[in-house]
Amino acid sequence: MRNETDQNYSDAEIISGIKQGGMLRQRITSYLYHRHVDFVRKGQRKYHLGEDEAVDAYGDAIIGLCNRINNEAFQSEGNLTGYLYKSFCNRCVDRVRKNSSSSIKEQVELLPNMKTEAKTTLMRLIESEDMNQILLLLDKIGGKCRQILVESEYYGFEVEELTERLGFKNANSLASQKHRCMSKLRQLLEKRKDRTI
Amino acid sequence: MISENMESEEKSETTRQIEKYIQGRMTPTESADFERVCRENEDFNEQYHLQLLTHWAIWTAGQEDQKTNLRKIYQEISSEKKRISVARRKWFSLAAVVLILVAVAGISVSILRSKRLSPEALFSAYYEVPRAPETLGAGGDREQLNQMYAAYRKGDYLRYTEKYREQLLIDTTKYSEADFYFAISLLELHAPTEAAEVLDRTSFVPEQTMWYKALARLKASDLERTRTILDSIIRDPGHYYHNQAVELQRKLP
Repeated sequence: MRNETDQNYSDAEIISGIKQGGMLRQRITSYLYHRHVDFVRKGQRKYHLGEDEAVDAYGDAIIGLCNRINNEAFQSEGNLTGYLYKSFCNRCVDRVRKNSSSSIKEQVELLPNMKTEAKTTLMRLIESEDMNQILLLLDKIGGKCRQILVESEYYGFEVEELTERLGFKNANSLASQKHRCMSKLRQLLEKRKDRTI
Repeated sequence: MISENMESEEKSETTRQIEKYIQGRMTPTESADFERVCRENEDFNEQYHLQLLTHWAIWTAGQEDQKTNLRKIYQEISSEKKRISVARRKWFSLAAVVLILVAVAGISVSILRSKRLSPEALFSAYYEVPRAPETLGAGGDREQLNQMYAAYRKGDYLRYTEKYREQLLIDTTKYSEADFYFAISLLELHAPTEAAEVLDRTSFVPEQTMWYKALARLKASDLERTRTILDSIIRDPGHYYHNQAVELQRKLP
């Protein structure tokens, strides 16, 4: 397997790779992470953050950039490095101010394939929900189900790529399994609601 | 069973419609209808909210997974940096050890060198006062010479040198031994350079003269000339002082 540090990607290649999703997106993200990892040290010095905090801020900046690119929200007038550094500094400042509410709003805004009205409703729901409890439900659907849903919905793996990656016989059996996993998660969410009522 | 299947299909259709709305694939009219149903039908609205939360849960889980993966990458990079740093430190330590060893060796050599005998000490180790000359028969200059030799025998080197300097009429070609003992007296009186100069011009017993000349230069700490004279002695294997010259040459600082 090619090492992330061996290959150089241009900004255009990074953007197109992230948009493509799947394995290429993971490889490009890892490459991007390696390329600017010295930001962590700079952030520690500039904002007097602990290493863990600076590492988290850097990870958030990388993920934020990838999501922004994926959601077509990235304006490519400046270069990627400049944008990433600015974003990283903002996240360091958030940590200095212990501010996390802005990041949830930003994350909802960056959800791909979701219309604005749906995002507004979702923001309202998040405010009234215990999200940790909902995340725990995702663990209850089983490791395989979680992997199928996360890799197809979050990482953007194509059906063919995921079929091979997860060892399914064909795309149809993966689609059926994904449908079952989704239903299982919805049922758990529904039951949780019933219990709280 | 049939009713269960029908219910399931109905749910799937509802899910598809909700998904179509969420993704913004409905026409404005369809969207308006969807929003109206949500307002009027609480169950449908609940399904819509569940669908949104499902998306959010998966998305958040994906982000958490990705954060964990990125932290792992950071740990790998850190470990690699530490490994390189440790390897570099090992090399620096090794280089430091080598430097220390070289320094210790250098100091040891200089200590050993300093322990070598000084020219003065070497002179004392190899110098022996030549035996006093025989008393000459009476007549002419011999009377004065005998008085000088008597002083030499007594170890009164100062008197010998004074007498030698007074006897300007002495024919040194005839009595070259007087020059030799004058040089020895000068050595005894700690005037090695003058002694060596006197030995330079005397023709008395050449092998002995050469050896004492080397010792005179050594006492004067003129190591370069000492070596030159010793080299001349060493080049002649039959020289009376050959072995002593080899030994002294080796011990020179």
